[in-house]
Amino acid sequence: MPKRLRNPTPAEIELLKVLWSRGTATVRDLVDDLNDGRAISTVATTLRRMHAKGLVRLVDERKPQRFESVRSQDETFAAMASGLDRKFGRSLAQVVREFLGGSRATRKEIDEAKRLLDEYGGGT
Amino acid sequence: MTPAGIALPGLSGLDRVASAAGWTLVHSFWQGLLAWVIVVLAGRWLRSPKDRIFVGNLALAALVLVQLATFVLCLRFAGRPWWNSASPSSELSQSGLFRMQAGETVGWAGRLFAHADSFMPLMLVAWAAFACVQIACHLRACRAVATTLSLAPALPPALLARCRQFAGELGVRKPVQFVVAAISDAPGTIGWLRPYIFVPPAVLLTMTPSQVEAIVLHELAHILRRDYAVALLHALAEAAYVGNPFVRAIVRRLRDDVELCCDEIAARHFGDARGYAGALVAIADSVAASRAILSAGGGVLRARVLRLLAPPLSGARGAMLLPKLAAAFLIGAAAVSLAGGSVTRSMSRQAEAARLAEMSLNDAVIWILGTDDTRGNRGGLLKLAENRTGRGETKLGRAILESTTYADGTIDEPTRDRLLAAVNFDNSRGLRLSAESRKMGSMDAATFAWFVHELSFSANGRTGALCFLDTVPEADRPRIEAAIRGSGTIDPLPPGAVGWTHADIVITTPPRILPRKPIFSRPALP
Repeated sequence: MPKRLRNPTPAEIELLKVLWSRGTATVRDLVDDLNDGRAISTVATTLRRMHAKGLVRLVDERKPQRFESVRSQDETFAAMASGLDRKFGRSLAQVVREFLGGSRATRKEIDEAKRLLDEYGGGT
Repeated sequence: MTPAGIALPGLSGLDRVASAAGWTLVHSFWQGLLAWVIVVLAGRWLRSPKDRIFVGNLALAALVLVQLATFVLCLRFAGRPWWNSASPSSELSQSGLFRMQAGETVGWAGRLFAHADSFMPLMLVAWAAFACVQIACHLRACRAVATTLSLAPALPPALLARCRQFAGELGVRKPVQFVVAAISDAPGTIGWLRPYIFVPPAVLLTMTPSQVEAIVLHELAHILRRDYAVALLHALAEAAYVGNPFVRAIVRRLRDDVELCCDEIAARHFGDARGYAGALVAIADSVAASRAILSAGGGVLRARVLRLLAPPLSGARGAMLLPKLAAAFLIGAAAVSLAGGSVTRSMSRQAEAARLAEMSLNDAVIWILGTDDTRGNRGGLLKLAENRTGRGETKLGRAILESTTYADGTIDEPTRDRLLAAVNFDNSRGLRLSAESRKMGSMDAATFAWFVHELSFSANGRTGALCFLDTVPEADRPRIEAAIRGSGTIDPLPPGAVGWTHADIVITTPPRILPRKPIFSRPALP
């Protein structure tokens, strides 16, 4: 059992989405549901890696092996979201500022903008 | 071995390249300053944010090209011996822009340059390492955010349906995912081929559905304009020119103008500019409440709201001259702005006087009192007085005295005192008051008061323009009248006005002064 759960990569997220929708799945189920030309061996390798990372667990060791996700989608999302700031720090702040529209107005600016809205008859 | 005595294995053949690159970075500061000055001047002259974005991006692109040329030049000069071969410094760096003729001795400048040149390889390595790390972290953060958002829950069904409908109506063809996520305090968008628009849960809770839709429209406008890709390039420029404040300043301006452009698209589609502006303010308020407020700096919220509530006239003038500006910006924005200039500068004094002579004070007159030229302000007003007196008198004080003397000989003392006090402020410009009390005509004293009031603004260094509105909508007149009686300014020109202003402050006359034929008119708004 790994000491801590690591966040999934985009490729792993694709598999997790299938597991979340199905509940449990075999490698063959994953290949069929993904239906993007990935080979069984590729999916199996990814699944093994995810198992080592603690993202999935075996629910049935008999062949064919059946897997399920350790965390729900919401739990995974929450873990990834909460880790962003911790992991990227200043880079994330920069991304927020540049791409995500996170520039902040000062309180003075906001009050001035509200005054303009009232003056022009709108109001907030 | 570099002249600094530091062994850099395998770099002996690259010393010249490193030195040339290092000096190129040094030159990027003054070149960045020039680009920034051009962007600032263009920003003061161009009204349309699209035009300003074009010039800004062009300036950045030109900076990169100029930097490449600088590197080539630095490289060309590298390798040529520029010391006197007898000089003990002959083994110093052989790169750099400064060359000396054979036989010249090395002066203090040369030694200083040589010393600086010796550190160029180190500086280049440090810069490259820092820039690469910053870019890598940045790209990783973008990827991580996008990956995280792929797991975020979708917006509530009704809102989601509306957002998809907006995307279709705006013509956004990419598969946009609308999700709920607290990546930042405010909604945002990220991603190029498969973009995500996310809305923080707090926003869904505190804002009305209509306001959320308005904000989503804004984000869709970003996707429509492909702002993400351009933002990536801007981020690369910032990382490449790390420590260059001018590049940062240009990029910051570009980001602000991008927001204004998206506001235009979103507000137009939303159909209610005031409501959209209200959504912007609500978002800003929500963000401000959730975290500590910056004590300085801030964004461009006021400008965005103002532009939505009272959009300026179209930038047709700027658009027409944009190709000339684009071609000439490297030569110097100062020459371009002078060539553009205000309409008053473009009109000859004779033509202006001839036009004025055709009108009476109580007829519709549109005055362009100019922006930076207070002499033009005074000159225009004095021409008005000249026109009325017909005797070439140009004393502003006389005009004040005359305008406050009514047809029946009575004098409006309070107004006269007030006007004189306002004019007295400008004594440094040589305005002299006259004790003569020639009657000037029936110019409305209140109107004249606003002329002078505006001159006071100009004397204080604020820009100003005065115009009578020919086509002010009836619904706007009470507001204009109230503003005149209050602060006396309308900022900016109300929509539908026929007139022209190059300024930030416009004073309008009360509606009872009936405007008729303007001197200058602009094409109607689209």
